[in-house]
Amino acid sequence: VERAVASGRGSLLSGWLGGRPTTGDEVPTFEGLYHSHRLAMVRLAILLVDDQASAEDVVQDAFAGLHARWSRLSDPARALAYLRTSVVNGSRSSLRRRRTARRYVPAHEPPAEPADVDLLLAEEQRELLAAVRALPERQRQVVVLRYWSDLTEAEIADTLGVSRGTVKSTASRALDSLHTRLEGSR
Amino acid sequence: VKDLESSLRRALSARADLVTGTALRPASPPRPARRRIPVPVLPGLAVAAAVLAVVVALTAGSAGPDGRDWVLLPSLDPLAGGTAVSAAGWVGTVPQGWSAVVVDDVDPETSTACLSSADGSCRVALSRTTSDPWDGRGPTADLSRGRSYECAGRSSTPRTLVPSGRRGYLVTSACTIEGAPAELVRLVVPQYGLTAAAFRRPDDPAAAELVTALLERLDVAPGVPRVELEELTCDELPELCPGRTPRPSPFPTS
Repeated sequence: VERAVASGRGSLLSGWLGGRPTTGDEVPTFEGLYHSHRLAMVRLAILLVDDQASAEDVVQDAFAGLHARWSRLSDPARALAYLRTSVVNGSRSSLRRRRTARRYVPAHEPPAEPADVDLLLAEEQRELLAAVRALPERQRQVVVLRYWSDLTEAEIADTLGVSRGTVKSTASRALDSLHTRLEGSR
Repeated sequence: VKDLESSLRRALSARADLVTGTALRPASPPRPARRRIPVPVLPGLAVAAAVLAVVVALTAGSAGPDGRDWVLLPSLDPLAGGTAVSAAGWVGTVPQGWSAVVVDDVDPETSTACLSSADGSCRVALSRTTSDPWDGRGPTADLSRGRSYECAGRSSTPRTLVPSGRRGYLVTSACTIEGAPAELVRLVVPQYGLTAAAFRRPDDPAAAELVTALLERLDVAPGVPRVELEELTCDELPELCPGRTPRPSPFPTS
């Protein structure tokens, strides 16, 4: 729990927006949200889009969109959920854009992952992350939201706009797929 | 399954935790300018009008003809470590070592951030795309984060709203954008304690217009020369005031 709070992960663990326990009457601010959750959102995005530049752009888009809608938010306490959904959707758009770009101009691909990223990860972790990257997009989103963001099935369903049953079955298929892939590589 | 889940948590955390900072990256070293044309003398009134319009839009948050606002949240400090937000979609943290941040939406599809250092130099530090979809043409990929980008392109239309009673002081300086000469014009709005600045690109007649704007607090860049040239009021530039006939853009358009 402490680890999740420290990293800004998890909507239920980190209080309303700022990674602080809520007192029930605090009003979230855009600035507070930005400072408290930007890094966590970039980390979430990088697990979905792989490279940091794209992840930062996705998060910028999400914050900009939230800023534009801030005054119209009916429930500011849901701003974090809104932001998380924006990041997931933005990551999906980023991947789609990248696929389109690759079709036309290969040289315009985003920069590859720095070599030191691989060096800093254990071999087992590299293998597992490669398997996660190979998952279909929806499965990958569910895996990241479940095992990194520590969201409940209901929260994942809310974020992705699907039913809880879909989340459950998607997660199950993802785990099966990962298991099969990892077994096959050994 | 439990082992796999535990491994997943560890692997995802390990990867995510490698992202330890997300401050803006400085631009790559500027490329040599393809051509250099001497900086012409500023057409004082024309530049003043455009700069004044820009700063008014910045401080008042008024929407331009295209409906986009220039917004810098007053509660967010644009100094190093602070946060800046542009209506075009740029949100960023000003890196240490830079005294100010420039945010601009010079093109409907791009948002450009420029940084100004304490010694008076300025450079484009970041640009990004904001629109979707990408049509497979143009230098979109070159506008990705962390790459240099010339402050050129379709300029924001000079704003025409100048609230009565606001005053400014024009000062000039010079800087380069991607190695090419550019002019930096500052306008101080005393009652707000803000300075706006605008760049123009005299080496490209089609783009020799205000292409970006800078908002910074006063006295954050002590090394920047400030030469007061002119004090402007709404009465001195009535054509820029609300309800008056807007002055045509003083800059050539392509």
